[in-house]
Amino acid sequence: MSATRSSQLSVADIMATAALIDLPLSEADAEEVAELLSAWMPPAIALSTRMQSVQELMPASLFDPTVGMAPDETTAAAG
Amino acid sequence: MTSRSEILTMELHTAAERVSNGEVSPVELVGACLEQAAATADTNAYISVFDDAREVAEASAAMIRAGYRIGPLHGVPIALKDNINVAGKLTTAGSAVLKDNISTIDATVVERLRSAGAIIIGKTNLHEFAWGGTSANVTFGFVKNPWDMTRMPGGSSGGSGVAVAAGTCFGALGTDTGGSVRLPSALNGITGVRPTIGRVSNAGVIPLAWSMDTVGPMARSARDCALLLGVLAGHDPRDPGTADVGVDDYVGGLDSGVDGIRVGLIEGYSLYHMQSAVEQAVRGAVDVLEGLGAVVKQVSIPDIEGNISAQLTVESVEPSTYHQRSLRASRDDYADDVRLLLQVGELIPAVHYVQAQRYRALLRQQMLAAYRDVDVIVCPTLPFTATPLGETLVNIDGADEDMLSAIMQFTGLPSLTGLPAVTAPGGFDEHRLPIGVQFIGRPFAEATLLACAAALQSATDHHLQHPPVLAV
Repeated sequence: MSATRSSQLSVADIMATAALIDLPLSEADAEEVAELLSAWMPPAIALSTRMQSVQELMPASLFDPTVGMAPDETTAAAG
Repeated sequence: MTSRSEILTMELHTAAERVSNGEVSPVELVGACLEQAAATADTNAYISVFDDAREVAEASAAMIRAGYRIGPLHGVPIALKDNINVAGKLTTAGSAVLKDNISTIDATVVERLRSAGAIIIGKTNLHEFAWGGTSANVTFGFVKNPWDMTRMPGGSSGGSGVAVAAGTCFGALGTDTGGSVRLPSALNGITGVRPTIGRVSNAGVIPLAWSMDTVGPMARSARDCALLLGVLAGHDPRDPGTADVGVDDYVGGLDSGVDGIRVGLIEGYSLYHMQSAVEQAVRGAVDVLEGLGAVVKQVSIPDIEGNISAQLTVESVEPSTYHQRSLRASRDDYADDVRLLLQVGELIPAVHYVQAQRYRALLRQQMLAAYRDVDVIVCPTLPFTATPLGETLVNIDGADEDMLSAIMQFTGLPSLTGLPAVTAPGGFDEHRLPIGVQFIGRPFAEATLLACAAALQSATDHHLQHPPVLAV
């Protein structure tokens, strides 16, 4: 989907996508969603495109790998 | 006997000292605050006020008379944003969805405040579910800025900001995801702290966006915030997201000054795209710090552009996930603006969300690289002063912009990177509306940021100014 296409999201686009993800949406809501999402998508696409060239980074969400370990295992890992 | 006006304009640390010394009673403090809350009820700062705080104050006073002091906040009235659970009390998150929700637990931050002797006097109004920056709450009333009641106070912790500025409490807690402690602190002329992610427990707090949420203190001065943060900070077994990192002596570090501190301005960002009064205030604050011995340097964050989009993406998708069931079950109980944002969040592609999370890692790398050259980064808290109630656009550089994006222009950087930030009063615009200056630091460097704010407050009196509603 190009930035130009996404910047012109229609109510029909939104209603179809909402149905796909089981999001109940009235037509009035869909109009507002289309307007806001149309404004947000071009910069989001630009950011996504920029990040495609940065391959080595992990997302900024981590599990602490020591949580849930038995206490002696935690000590061993720390040591 | 301390006069009512003296009490209402007193800083938190002074109130705590005077209670400790027996110079003022918790009963006087609570009484004055509750009376002021009633007198300023048209600000809509509170969702609920705790009349039983008077009984707690009596017990608190009796303890002082008997020679007992529970902790550093003994007898001091504190307000809580209404997304923070207090057992047995209403916790609405500012929404009709939870209008009858009685909490069954205390949030960890509530336990810590009580352990320090604080008296909780009420729950403050907010933007519904903390998802918005204006505190335009259709269920509990639009929160009004005490500096000009026709204007908004910022959000989402708008009630907490107003409660402090209007003299109804000595400090308050807010929550900050994309700026919700810092924005209302700036627009109400008070000081606020967004701690490092993991510094303060979120246990018992209704979430907005899990990966960016944190509780933070709001009060008149850096010293007051330092006192509060010292009580709140630390590892919590109830919140695995908290870090087991030692807690600094924030109050003790306040007088360290800024001599030799390296203050960074981000090229093309720190002084870019804001109302002229805001730019003057930030430049003025930097000049003050330089005059006190700080060294001002330019730094570069190459990929700073994109931070607002990343914030909108993360801050939309995560709340939409949290509210997915409730939005379907209680659609009509949500305010129109919040329902719209929750619906939009469900439609953002998963790949964009993950790319935004990867961008956060990139941005953090670049920020940490900048901290090899500087100790603190300075920029505005937000690029404009308080706008009229209900306004959805804001004028910057002669053009009208969407409020939600504009409001995130400077607060998003710490939110996305998990870094700490402090906002402090930096002056006023031509309408005598407060302006906030933001200090951003390394992970767990809250003490450095508070020392910078304290240095600014040692040389200026912006934080000692009071809004008209406090003209008692």
